[in-house]
Amino acid sequence: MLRAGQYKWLFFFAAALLAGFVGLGARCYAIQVTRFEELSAEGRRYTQYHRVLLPRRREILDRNGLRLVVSVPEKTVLLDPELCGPDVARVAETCGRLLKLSPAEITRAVEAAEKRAPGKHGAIVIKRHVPVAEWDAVSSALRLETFGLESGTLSRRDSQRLGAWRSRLLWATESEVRQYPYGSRLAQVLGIATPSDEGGSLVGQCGLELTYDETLRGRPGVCDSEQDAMGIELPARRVRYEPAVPGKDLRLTIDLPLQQAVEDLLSNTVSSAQADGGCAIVMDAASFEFLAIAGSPSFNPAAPGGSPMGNWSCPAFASRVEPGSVAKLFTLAAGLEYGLITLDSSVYCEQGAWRTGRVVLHDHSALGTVTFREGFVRSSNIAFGKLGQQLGAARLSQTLRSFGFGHAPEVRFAGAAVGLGLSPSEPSVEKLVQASFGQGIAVSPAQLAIAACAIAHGGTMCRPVLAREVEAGAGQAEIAAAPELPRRVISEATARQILEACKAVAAPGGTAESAMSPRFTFGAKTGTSQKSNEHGYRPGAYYSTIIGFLPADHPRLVILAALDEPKQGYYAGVVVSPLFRAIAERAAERLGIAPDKAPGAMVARSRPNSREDKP
Amino acid sequence: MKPSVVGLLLAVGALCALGAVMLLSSMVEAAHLGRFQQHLCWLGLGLVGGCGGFFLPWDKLRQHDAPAWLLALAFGALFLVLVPGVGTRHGGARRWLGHTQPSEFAKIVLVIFLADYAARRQSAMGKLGAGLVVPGAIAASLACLVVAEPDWGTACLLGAVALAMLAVGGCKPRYFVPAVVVMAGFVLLSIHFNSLRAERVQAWLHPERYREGVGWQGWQSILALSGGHFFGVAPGGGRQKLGFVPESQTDFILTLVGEEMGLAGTWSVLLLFAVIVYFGMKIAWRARDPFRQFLAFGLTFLIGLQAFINIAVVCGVLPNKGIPLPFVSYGGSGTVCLLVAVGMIAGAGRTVSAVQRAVDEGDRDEPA
Repeated sequence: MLRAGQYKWLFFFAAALLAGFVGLGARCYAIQVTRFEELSAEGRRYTQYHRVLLPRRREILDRNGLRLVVSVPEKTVLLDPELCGPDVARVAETCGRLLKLSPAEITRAVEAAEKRAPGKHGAIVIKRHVPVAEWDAVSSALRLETFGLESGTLSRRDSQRLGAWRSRLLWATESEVRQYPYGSRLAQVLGIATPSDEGGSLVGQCGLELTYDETLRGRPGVCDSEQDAMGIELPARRVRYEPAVPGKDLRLTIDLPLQQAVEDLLSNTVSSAQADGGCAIVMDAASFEFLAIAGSPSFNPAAPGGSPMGNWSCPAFASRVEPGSVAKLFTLAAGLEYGLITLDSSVYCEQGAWRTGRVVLHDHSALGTVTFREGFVRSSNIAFGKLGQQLGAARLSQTLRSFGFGHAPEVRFAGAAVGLGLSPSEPSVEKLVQASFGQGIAVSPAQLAIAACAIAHGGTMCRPVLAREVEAGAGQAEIAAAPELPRRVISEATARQILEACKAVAAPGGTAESAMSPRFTFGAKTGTSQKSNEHGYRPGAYYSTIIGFLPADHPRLVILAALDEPKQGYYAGVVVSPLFRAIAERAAERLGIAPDKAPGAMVARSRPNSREDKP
Repeated sequence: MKPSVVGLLLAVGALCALGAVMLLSSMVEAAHLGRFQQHLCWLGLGLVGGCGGFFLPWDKLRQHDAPAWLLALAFGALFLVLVPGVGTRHGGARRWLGHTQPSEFAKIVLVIFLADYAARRQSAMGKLGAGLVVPGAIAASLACLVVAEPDWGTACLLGAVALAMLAVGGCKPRYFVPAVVVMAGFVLLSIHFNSLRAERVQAWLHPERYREGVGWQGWQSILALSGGHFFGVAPGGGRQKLGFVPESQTDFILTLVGEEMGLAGTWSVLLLFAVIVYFGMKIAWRARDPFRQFLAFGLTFLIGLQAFINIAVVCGVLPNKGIPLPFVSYGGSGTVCLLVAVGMIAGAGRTVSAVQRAVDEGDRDEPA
């Protein structure tokens, strides 16, 4: 038997162990019950899996189904700086090799992150726009990476670190990027979509990307679940799963080959006329569809930062300009429609100078008594001022309004200018008279083109179309062809008379004489307006516009061309008429419109000066 | 059989069953099922070994100096492990001979040897040389071999068990208290000069600062435990085993118990170990000769201390040591050795027939 002292020790050790177990029991109680709320919430932070499922942003196609904008998935690669510890150089070297980055760059980023928030768990973005395949290769290579540590002689500590690096050092988030197979074609109409600040889905910033943002984006889904330590979701433990609903494709009415031709012609003319900019629109008169919308100067949507932001907006929709003499189309329409005049009614043009109220109006060439047809062809401000006075503000503003001026265009386009119409109760005679030849009102080029379409369409206005939402993969058949919401603006007879007058404008003696083509008869109306700022009209700053119809008698196309502050000549008849003619010929060729003149039938004419109104 | 032996065996059986269930629960893939079968094989082998331990004829064995031979064998095996090409490396340490860990074997052998040593020299144990220096040097050299693997956890365990056995064996407190101080100083120095251990201690002192690094395991194990609340999230429903707690099947098996069975699970485990310690100590108290008393005490203390350290690590009370939970953790040689040890404890407490007793009485004629 043992001595008493030995039994004491035996009892002591037994009691110490049992006391230790009691202590551990208390510790377990503290962890599992007392701190349950706090610690289990912290634990859920690691196991919780919450993902917003982003549908791929849909595509934008031209009328032939050519893909103008597509979305490509890509990865953003992140690094956990906390795992680097003192081995930043080693980590940077390996990551740099895998991701083709300079190690110095990674080191700098890690050190900057450490300085920002020392010891904080977080992630830094080390590479954006990584193709999915490249990331897959990198992440597989990472699993076998040795980080320059010799695997045969690893200490326990090193092998732990190596394991952590392989599994948790790098990871990637999903993102997508817009790609433009046709470069900067149609860029201002398409607009851009950039990643939102929270990352993830792209958000439209301007153009159609903004206008139809929700349509293209679709509805994100959500997945709430649990994950294992590698961040892999455990489908068996899903609590919520709502799949993403993809959006719809956008099928434009734009014809890309024609668009291409128009853009090239426009930019050539803008540079040869040394203009600040310009725009051109081709519309289908029967369907009210936009076939081409060009603006200059444009930008590269893949790298929008390379151009000033002003270039991002689409001048056809966004610019507000005084229409100038082009507005005479609609004043004439009002006069004819209300039966105040016919094309053959005569008007006295005061030999080029007419005082009305406190202003004196001038024509650029002194005319005596002429018919309205001749007043239109020679763009007499006095003749149309008198007609405006005769119409009165109420009737003129009503007509302008019904042509779509002074309110937002019916085509959906973000940032489209509303313009400035004429008040129906305008008390000032001067303003009424000026408005009747296009001064003191403001329109966008697109509004002008749409209004001209109503004339070409026999006086009926329809809803203009630029884009239609279609389900992915929809065929041509699903694209509606019939114009919507027809609404009569003027009678068919009035429309025919206006077209007849326009035909004479693009004929010898008219202001658009230089638009004449040996193969086609065009109808046209030119306008040269002086640009203004808050101090009034700016000398030498003009906006030259032409609206034309092809063919003249039964127009299929309405074409608008405009130049902003051309320096080489400014009369629309000189600077934009040749552009109009070039566009019209290309459009006719593209759309298979047969020439209506026998070759060589045009009478060669030359006049020293083109006739044009002066603002 | 005596009630204390029955109680001891029931508690061990319950822990083994719990271990098997938790191992099964931790298998997230069918491919792991082989491990479960392997574990069952080890348990079966342990059962056989335990029976052997129960019936060991200690008196005859001691006559032939078997404890010393076993110690020599343990030294040999621990040397062999260190020989490159013979010992198997795993996770930065050379601890394996084939599929067995000699250090597990060495723990039991050291207890047997010290029990034999102290029983033989009962009268001399009060002296410095015989009571502390000689057995202490033997234990220390064994521990040094284990440290060389390196396996600090087991070495500490060996040291603590040796000191406890010497205390109970009759060594005077004024001798071994300084030894405890020296040992503690040695451990502290080793921590100071080893960055990994220093980092582990730091991670233990400041878990929130080392969450993503060396403290990951400890922090995640506390989080896993906390997920259990009173009754756990049901077997199989635990999350932390999905890679959050490294080695969740071996050293950190208790996190799984705590998460899936809650406080009920952890307290049950503690209670079962308390039962083992209680009955083991009772057997030691009442065993019929000093050798069996020392043996039962040493082995019970070994099991109890190992359980205490493991659970303390899991609860974040002690820094990470790499010591499995007896009977519950997955692990081959460790499980078998400990089951043999249980057999020996039970054997020390078995009732003996009158004939046997007479034989024993006859044996006892020689001076102890």
